[in-house]
Amino acid sequence: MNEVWSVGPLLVRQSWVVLILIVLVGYFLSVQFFYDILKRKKEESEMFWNGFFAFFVTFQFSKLVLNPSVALSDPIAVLATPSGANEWMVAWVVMSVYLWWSTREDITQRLNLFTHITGAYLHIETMYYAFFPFTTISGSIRTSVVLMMMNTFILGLIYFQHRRNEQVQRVLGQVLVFYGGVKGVLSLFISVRMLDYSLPSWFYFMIFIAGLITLSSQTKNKEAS
Amino acid sequence: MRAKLVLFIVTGFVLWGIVDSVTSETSATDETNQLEQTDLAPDFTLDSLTGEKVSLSDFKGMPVMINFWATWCPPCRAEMPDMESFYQETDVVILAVNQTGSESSVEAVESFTEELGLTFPILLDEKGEAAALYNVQPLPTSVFVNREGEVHHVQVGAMNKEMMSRVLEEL
Repeated sequence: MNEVWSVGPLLVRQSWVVLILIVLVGYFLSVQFFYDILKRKKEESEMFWNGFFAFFVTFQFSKLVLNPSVALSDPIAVLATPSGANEWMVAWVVMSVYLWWSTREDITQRLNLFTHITGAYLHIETMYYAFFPFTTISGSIRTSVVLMMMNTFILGLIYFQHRRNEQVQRVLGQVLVFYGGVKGVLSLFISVRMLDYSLPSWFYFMIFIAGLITLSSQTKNKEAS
Repeated sequence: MRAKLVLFIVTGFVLWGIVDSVTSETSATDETNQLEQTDLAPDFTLDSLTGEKVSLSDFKGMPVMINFWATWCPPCRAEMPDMESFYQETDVVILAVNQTGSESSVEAVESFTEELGLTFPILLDEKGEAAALYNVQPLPTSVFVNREGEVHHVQVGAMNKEMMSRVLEEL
């Protein structure tokens, strides 16, 4: 999918078009997945899309902040380069902080929102690997297939924990611990990716720690009540 | 019910991934055989900015990145620092083929190269011959040639260091 269409002065990659379709279909699947599990209010939907917008803008423009010397002399050139792993991590942090801040008065809404975002991301990532496979290990199974199986297991976990009437906070904590822990450990031995970006293992371990905090907070709340 | 259906669809994607993973090993071998016969990188000889004659065939047995660029093209300028760092840290040969016919002067290319401290060879394609051999239209375009002298990957548009390293790993 390396082909390019020239539209006037613009270059449109086929892979970009496929990526947009994957995001749309992945989002649609996640809405259907959570339809009976986690009802979403209109306000939450707005925050979800604001968070997505914050992620996209940060991912595209944080290059200017991360490369200040080149950005000052040639900002257009910097914007013309594709974003990489650093911009990806900054975008996740900015989106998380934004969602954290905007749900500061309603913890239930915060948990629902983060669960929706995590679920949507898992759907999109799984579909992405089906269309853009990669391999960093020897053997007959690709690395991307291993990650797809892991994502599917996590989605299954969300589904079955819901059927067992587990609290959203507990499920979210388990998902973050599993995703961050497994990818963190894998990244110490082989090159794994988050969508298309090879991230350092500390970033995955940060997700793991966020999951542990979520779980311990849930346990405390349970004991208090 | 909807969640179950979605889980089935997602599992379908995983199964597709597994099947594709197993079957593509065979087809990848076939593709490699075809490339050996047809997709050898065309050789060219150009003057470098330092006045030497440089040919692609001088670098037989080495992985080569041929980058077609011009100083007036923002994405080309943007990827140069990453290319320099990639060149310094790996054993790749970079041939930066400047589209000199579209430049105001060779001095403009010289001052740009000095400003960025580029150390890889800058070749001057004054008549666009090398670009025509590779059918290059938009700039920048990077062509990766493996140790066997075959075109392994063509990238249209700017690349960052991570992308370059990923392609080099495959060469």
